[in-house]
Amino acid sequence: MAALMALLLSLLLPLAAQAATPVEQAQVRELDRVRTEVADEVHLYAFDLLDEMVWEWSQEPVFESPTPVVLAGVTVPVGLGSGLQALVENHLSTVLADNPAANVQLVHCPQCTAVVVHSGPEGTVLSRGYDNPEVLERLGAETGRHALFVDIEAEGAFLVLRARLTRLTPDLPIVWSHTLSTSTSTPALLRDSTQLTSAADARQEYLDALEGRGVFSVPVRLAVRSYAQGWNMRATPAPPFLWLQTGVELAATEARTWTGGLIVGYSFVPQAYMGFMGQARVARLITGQRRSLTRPDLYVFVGGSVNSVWGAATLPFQEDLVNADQVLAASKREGPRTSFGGFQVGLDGRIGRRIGVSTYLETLPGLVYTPNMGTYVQFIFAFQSIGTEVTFWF
Amino acid sequence: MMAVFAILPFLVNPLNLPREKQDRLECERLSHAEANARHPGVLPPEKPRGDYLDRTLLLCRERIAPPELRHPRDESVLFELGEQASALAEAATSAAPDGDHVWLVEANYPNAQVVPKLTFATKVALMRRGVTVSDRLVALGAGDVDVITRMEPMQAYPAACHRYAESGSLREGDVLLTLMVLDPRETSLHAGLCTDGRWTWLR
Repeated sequence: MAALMALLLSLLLPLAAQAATPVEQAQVRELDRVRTEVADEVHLYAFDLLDEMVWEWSQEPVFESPTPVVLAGVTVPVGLGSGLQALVENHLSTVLADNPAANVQLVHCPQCTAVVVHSGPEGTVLSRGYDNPEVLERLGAETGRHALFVDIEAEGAFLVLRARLTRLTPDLPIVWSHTLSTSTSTPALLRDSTQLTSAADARQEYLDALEGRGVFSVPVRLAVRSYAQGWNMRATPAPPFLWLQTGVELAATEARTWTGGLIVGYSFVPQAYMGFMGQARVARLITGQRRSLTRPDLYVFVGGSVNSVWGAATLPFQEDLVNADQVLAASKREGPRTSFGGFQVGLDGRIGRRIGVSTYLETLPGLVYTPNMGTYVQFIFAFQSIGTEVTFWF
Repeated sequence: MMAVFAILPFLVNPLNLPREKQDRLECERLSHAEANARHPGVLPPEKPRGDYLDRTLLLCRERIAPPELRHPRDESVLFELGEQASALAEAATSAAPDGDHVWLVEANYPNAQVVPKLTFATKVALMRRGVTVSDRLVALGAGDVDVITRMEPMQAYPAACHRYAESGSLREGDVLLTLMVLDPRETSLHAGLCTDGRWTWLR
């Protein structure tokens, strides 16, 4: 009989497929698209509800000791496919395996979920295994196990999870049941299955991740500025300057698309130079509309600075040609004090919330005519300096 | 009406959304007091001497399943499944005879995918009311099915109840709560109780 049905179906199905009009085919495609779109959104909410259920079990276990449980049935919202069902089953298995404190050990029981046929004096009964524990016992399955049923349904704007545990004895009593729901106006919490927390704590972590950054942050930065060799070969170039800088950075919004900062810096190398600087900077995120919590971000920035330096090694910032002898002679006294301004343009790469690396070109308008200093790049402005920074944010 | 809609979209269509997006929204209008209780801070506090405006809050959430995804009858039943199940459980436990009973639930609904949803929700609602619920199923012999399926629903369910008890499928002390739609076009559920072979319509 079954073979006859299969033959009939194999003959009819291709005919049915051919009979579908282009409009019907388009409707089926559209339905599949909608189904996929909804399933993509729903599965995170479903995971959230499963996480909450297992977390509740780990806090108040249904069983006093680890107990074998058969995952007898998982049903997903009507209209969504079996792919979502598989995702939900896998996630539940993973979360339960990662949380032994829940005292629920999923066990494999193919007889329980199979359709079984039992013929006896009272007649022939066709049923699923877990609906007929007496037949299960004859098939060798351990009696007295528990079966877990999970149902997830979309009820308006709410996704509702219902779960029940049934003891697989002839009376099939339901020993536990529960209902949980979430709505589309609440974002999924995406809890780590190995460290489940309550919904309230997970929500707080989520808010902390957004708000903990705040709009203010304090950078501590180590910077090196190198100056180009002057066109006159007899001239002595300025040495690289090391700066330790700190200040405050302000973000316009939580998205941190635009940021601005004020920085002060100090530089000191014994018997060479000492200096102070102040800098203002505005940066724009160029790798998205908002800072990412998971991947690096890149900003482009422009800034202006004022530097005041003194010491023997700062002689090349003078307008006169300076040679090595003059620098050595100056090292025996305090040396000249020079103040100059600069403008920077550069790129700032940030990794996570704490570390950043940046590089920039700097033009020093007051030192354009200094024979001791050349140009690295000439593009609209003469950029005499290149800077590299490593920044830590607090 | 279309002209008014075009000229004054914000008045007729306060959310200013396309029709297909509006269809996905589930909205409720909250009074000032309700809005303050459920979403404090959204509306400004009421002035002691009253206000010239009657402020209300239109609260909208996006439906999970878009309207085209499911059959309208299924969508209507599933939309308020929790409320319906609770109401049925309350009505059933009130109508049941006194004493300790084991409750069984079955559903007859045109879409087989919806049937387990109905029974699941009702069993959970019954459990919440503190009664003993079992996953046991009741069954009829092939001859009974052949006769009963030829009867009108109003006679078929009492007859099936009688046969459940006579065949021993429904034991003494069992209460069977049956949910059904009597006409495939209707979207409201009917229910009946079967106890010791006696059938009672709940609604």
